[in-house]
Amino acid sequence: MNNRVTRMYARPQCAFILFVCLWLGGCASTPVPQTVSDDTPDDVPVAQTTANALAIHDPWEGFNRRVYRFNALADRYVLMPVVQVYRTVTPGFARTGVQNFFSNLGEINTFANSVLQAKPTSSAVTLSRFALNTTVGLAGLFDPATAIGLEQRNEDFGQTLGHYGVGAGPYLVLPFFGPSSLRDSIGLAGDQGLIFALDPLQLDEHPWARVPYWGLYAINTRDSVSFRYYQTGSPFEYTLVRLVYMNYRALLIEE
Amino acid sequence: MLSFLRACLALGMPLVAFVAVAQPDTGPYPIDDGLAATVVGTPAKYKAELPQNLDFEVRSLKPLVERETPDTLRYARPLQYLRVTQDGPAPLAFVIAGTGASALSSKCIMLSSALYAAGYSVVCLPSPTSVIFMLGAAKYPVPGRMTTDVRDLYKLMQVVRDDLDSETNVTGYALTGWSLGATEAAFIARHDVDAGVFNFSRVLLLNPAVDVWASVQRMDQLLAENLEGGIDGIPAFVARGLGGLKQLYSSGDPLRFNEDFLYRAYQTKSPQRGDIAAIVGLAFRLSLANMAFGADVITHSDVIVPENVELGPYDSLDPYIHRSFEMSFDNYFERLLAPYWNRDGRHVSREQLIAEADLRQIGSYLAANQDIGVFTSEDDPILSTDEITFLRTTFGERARIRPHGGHMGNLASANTVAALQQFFSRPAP
Repeated sequence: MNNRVTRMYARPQCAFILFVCLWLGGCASTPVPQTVSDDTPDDVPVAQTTANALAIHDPWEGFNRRVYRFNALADRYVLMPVVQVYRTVTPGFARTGVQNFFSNLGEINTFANSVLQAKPTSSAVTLSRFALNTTVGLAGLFDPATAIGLEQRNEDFGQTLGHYGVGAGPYLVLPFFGPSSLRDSIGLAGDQGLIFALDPLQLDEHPWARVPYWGLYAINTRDSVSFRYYQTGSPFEYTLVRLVYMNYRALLIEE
Repeated sequence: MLSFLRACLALGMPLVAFVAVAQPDTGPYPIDDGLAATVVGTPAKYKAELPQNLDFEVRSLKPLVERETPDTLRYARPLQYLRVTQDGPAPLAFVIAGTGASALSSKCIMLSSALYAAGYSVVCLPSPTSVIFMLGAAKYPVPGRMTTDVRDLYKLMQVVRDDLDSETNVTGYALTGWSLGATEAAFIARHDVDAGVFNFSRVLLLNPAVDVWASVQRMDQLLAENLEGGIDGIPAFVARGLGGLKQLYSSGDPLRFNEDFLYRAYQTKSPQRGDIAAIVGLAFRLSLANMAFGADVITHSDVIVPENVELGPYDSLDPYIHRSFEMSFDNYFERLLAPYWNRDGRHVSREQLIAEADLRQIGSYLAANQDIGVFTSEDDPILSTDEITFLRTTFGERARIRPHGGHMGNLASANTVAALQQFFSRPAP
């Protein structure tokens, strides 16, 4: 009878993220104005523009929907099966360690962007986290900083651009990376470029290490995101994800 | 647990990995408003401890019906269900998902984990109101007629039973479901008495609707009374919600949607009761919009998508979202369900469609059968006082009706899960 089997694990957070998506998503109906009013400055969060948080500029929808479908299939047939194997062979504490490790590397971007946005608290917290986790936390495998109350911040170059008034631009779905916008895609490239230039792991001197590094990076990234394509069961999932992503980013930039 | 480990590390203490886990709070469910409970759910510290990292499988089946999949709905292929099996001999419990939910929904995972911990192999099935079921398992793909929806489910259950691995040793069957899935479970149990396939040893209804069409009209009402401007008022409503979020985080704390975010928001913001009611109404409306759009496209009913429009796989659905969301349960009944059951040689009256979906139809069966129980709350917004009384008198001691908990708000709590596990563990009477 059966043909194809995939395995999955219960992950409690996924309930929650989906939940938020659904509540916000419950609102995804609107008399479809296709774009935000032209006379609204681009940096105003969509929530405040036309008082219509649902009107999202998506002129490349045909392309985006194709990439969305591609991502869903790649996720189902490539990424998730690999992640499943990873979850089966790796004990929980080791996966947490890997997650912490990449998250600690990510503090470099958070710090740089906190400084660029002139946010002293965020910069100080992030620098302290990085110092503590890299040393006491054994190169970032552990996260003692959170335990003593230094909560992780969330800044990236997309947010920095937004902070200085760069509008989100059109909604854009990137292959593998998923929902983004023109601005956030440029931000993503900037952040990756910074890591590439600083080369904190000295990958330049050990080129062979790039393979396990990027492999683990991809696996860990997918492992720590609990979203599953088509889990909402809604024919309007593309639109709901678009809505949640764009408004979530607008909130982050305002923060 | 993790933060505790991290604290130990930070202080340089030697640590033993398996320190005692904090026990969940077993005090009474803390949210005393039924609608708020429905939105917020179970706060983290009241949640039951459930086994993690179970070996869940997402199984795919060949479609049970011959039907072409419209391009715009092809995401909902193939027909999938969720399964977790015990290694040794064990009874198999079926879980039927609530309105619009697929077998991957978080409640499926929660209930499956709870039943697995009680010694069951578990299968969770999509709701007949989900597009995935409509496409792959529904003989009549406009959900809402109880008799036929239940027959389709019953057929799916048999296919799923035949899909078990040969090494899985099933010693008996049990059945549960939540919300609309609970109502369906009751009718399935009744149907099984005649069909005699499963002979369920236990059937538990979790927050069932008693009279389905009365319940969904209450949900329509919540929206009509509490969403200013109706469906066109949604953008303003969302903007206000986002404004509230901003305010909530203006204190300089990092913006963080963690597990207890909604509960904290509820506690600190004490939102307007009307807004909470609107959110509940909108959640139901989203499920309905999905279902109405799916049914309309599959049957070419010309209600949402014009008959002559063939939507491609990558076409924007923006023009149809508004129309889908305008569809109240009343509209759905009048414009999709009733017309569908009165064309192509079918003749089912409106009165019959409504009457078929009422638990009182099988009241004497429910009252007499000692193996069927019900869990619900007095403040469940889908029920009226009369319906609560019906459940109480029909089920007697087999009814666990809590004063608070809303519509499944307390489902994940330690107390509810313990009662559920006890119900499924007790020896046959």
